[in-house]
Amino acid sequence: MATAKAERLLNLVIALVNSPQYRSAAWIRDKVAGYSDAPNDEAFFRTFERDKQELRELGIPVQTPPAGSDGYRIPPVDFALPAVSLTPAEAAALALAGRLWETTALASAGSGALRKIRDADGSNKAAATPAGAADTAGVGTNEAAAATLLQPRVRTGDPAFAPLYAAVRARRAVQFEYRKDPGTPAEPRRVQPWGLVSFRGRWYVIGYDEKRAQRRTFRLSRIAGAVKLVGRTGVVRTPAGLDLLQEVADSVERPADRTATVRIRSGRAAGLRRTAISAQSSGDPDWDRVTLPLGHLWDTARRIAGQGPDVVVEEPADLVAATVRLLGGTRQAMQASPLAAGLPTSPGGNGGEPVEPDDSGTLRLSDTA
Amino acid sequence: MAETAAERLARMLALVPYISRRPGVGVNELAAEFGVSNEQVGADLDLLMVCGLPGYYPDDLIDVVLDDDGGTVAIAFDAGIERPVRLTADEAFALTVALRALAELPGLLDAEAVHSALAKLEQLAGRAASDTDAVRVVPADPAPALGLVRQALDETRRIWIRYYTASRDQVTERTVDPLRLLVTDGHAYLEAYCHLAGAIRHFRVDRIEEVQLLDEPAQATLWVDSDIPERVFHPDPQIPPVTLTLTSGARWVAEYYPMDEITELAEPPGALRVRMRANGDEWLARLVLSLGGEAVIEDRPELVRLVAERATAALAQYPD
Repeated sequence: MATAKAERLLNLVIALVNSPQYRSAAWIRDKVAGYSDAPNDEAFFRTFERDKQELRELGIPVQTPPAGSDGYRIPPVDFALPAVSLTPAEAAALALAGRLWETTALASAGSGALRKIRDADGSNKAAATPAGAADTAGVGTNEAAAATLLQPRVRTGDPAFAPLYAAVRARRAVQFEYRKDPGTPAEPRRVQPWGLVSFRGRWYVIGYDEKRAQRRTFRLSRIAGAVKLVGRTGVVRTPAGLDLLQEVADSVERPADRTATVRIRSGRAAGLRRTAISAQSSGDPDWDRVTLPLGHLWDTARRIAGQGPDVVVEEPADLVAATVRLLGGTRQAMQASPLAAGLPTSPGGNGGEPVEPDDSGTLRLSDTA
Repeated sequence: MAETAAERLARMLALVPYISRRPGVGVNELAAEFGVSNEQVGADLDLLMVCGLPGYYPDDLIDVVLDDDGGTVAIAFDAGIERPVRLTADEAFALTVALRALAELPGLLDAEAVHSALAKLEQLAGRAASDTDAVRVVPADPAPALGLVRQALDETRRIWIRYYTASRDQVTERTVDPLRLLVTDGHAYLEAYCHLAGAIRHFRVDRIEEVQLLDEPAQATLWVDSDIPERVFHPDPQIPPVTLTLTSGARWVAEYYPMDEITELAEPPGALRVRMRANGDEWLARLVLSLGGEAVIEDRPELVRLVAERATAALAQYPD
C-alpha cells in the first residue's frame, strides 16, 4: 500500500513539475499512473486532495489557476531549492549546524536541510563529494577539517521533548504532571507553551500556566509521565518581545547583588578563589582575605561549607549563620550514622539543628568532569 | 514504526539530486547518508525506475544505472526532478535554530560567517522558516579561552594552559596537544593529549584560565574517535563507589552527577539511595559537607569520620 502510494505521489510530482500549463483533474486521473484505478469521481478526488495536502507538507506546493477554474501544476521555481553559493566558512558553519541535533525530532530535519542546500549549490564542487570525506578541493577540506576538529551536539533524553516540540510548533496547549520540588508529588499542569530553551545542558519549556494564570518556566526532567497535546492548533499566542533565554536565566540563577568576605587558608579552595572579586592579605601568612560575590545565600553557604575548616566566613551575618547551620547539620548526621562508632559526640553550642530545605535545585557545585 | 509514503517520497526526491551530483556513488554510502539499510536503498531505486513522465514508455522512466559488481549507482535520466525540493518548515526550523545556537558561543566559529550563512539560509527558507525564536539553545557557557583553543586546533599547535581541575579543586599548569573541541551537554570541552597525565584528557574550556600557543606543533594522533563520548567523565576505576542516602533536599545531586544506581526509598519520604563514583574522597567529602546533613554516607566509615572531623574543625572557628 505504502509503496503504491509513494509511487503515485512521485508520478504526480513528475507530471506536474514537467507540465508547461495547468493540468485538469480529468487529465491527472487519466494520465498519471496510480489514479486510474479510482472506482468513481468521489474516490478519485478524496485520494487526490489527500495527496496534494501531503505534498504541501513536504514543501511542494500544488498551484491552481487564479480564476479558480480546474487545473493544477507545480511551478519549477516553487519546487526546486534555488542554488546558493557559500564561502568555505559559511559552508563549514552550516555543516556544523546540520549535525548539531541529536534529538530525533530535529536531527533528520537538520541533516536533510543541509543535504538539500549542498545539492542545490551549483558552484560548490565540494557538494559533489561524500559528506565528511576529505577532498583536495578547498571547500571540502575545510568542511571535513571542521567536522573532525569541532563536534557540537545538543541532545535531550527527556521523553517530554518530542511532544512539547510538536506543541510549540503547532501552537497548541499541553497537559502534564509536574514535580516542582524533588520529593513532592507531581501536580497536573495545563500550559500554553511559548518555547523551549536549552540552557547549561538542560531543557526548559516556558509558557502560560492556565490554572495559576501566570508565566512559568518548567524543567523537562521534572515532568512526570506523558505530555498530552490538548486544545486546538494555532491558538497559543506568545507575548511580544518575550526573551525566552532571559526567562530561563532568571529562573535558574539569582544574580549576585551582595558581597561576602571570607578567610581562605593559603593554597586551598582554588574553586572558590576563581570566583573572587578581590583578595587581600589577612595579616596572617596562613590565611588570605577574599571578597566573593553573593547571590543565592544557600548556594554560597554550600560552596563554603564544602571546604570545611579551610574557609571561614567573616560577613555578612546571614551567610555566617547559614554556613554554621550546614556544618552543624553535617556533623549531626555523621555522628548519628551507625558507621560513626567511636566519634566524639557533639560538644553542643552552635549547629546541630536540622537544615532547612531550600529551593535551590540549581546549585552548581564543582563538577566531576 | 512503519515509514509513511510521504517520508519515503521525501527520501526518493532527495536521492535523485544526490546521485545526479555524484555519479558512481556507492549503495553503502547512500544507505549511510540517508540512514536506511542497503536493502531499502535498493527498493527505493527500484521504485524510482518505474516512475517517470506520463506515458510511461521506457524513455519516460527515470533511468537508474546500477553497477551490481561495484555496488555503485548513477542516473542517466532524471525526469525533471534533478534539483532538491525546497526546505520544509521543519527543515528550515531545525537548521536555523542550530545555526543561531552556534552563534551564541563566541569564539567557536567565525562570527561573520555564521551571520552571513544565517542570512543566506533565511533567504532560502523564505516563508518556511517561521517562529524560529521559539526554540533557543545555549550550547555551552561562555569561555574566554575558546578563541585561542580554536586557533591552536586550526594551526595544529601545542599549547600551555593553566587549568582548574574541579575534582581536585586545584589549578594546574599543563602542556597539551589539542585534538578536538566537543560541545555537549552545556559545556565546551577540549579533547587533548596531556603531557602531564601522559594520556588523552578532556578539559572544560570555561575552566581554562590561561592559554599560550607554543611554537611546537601538536603531535599528530594515531587515532581519533569520531563519536562524542556519552559522558565526558571518566571515574577512576581504582576508586570504589560510595553509597549515599539523599534526603529530599539533596535529590538534585542524583540528577546532577552521574550515578551507577538510584533507588527510591519509602522512608523518609522523597529520599533516594544512590551509588556513585567520584574522582576521589576529597571531592566526596566536599559534596557531603556542602549538603548540611541531607546526604548520609552508608558504606565508608573512614569517610564518615573524615567529614565529621572537618565539620567539627570548621565549626570550632566560629564563636558559639
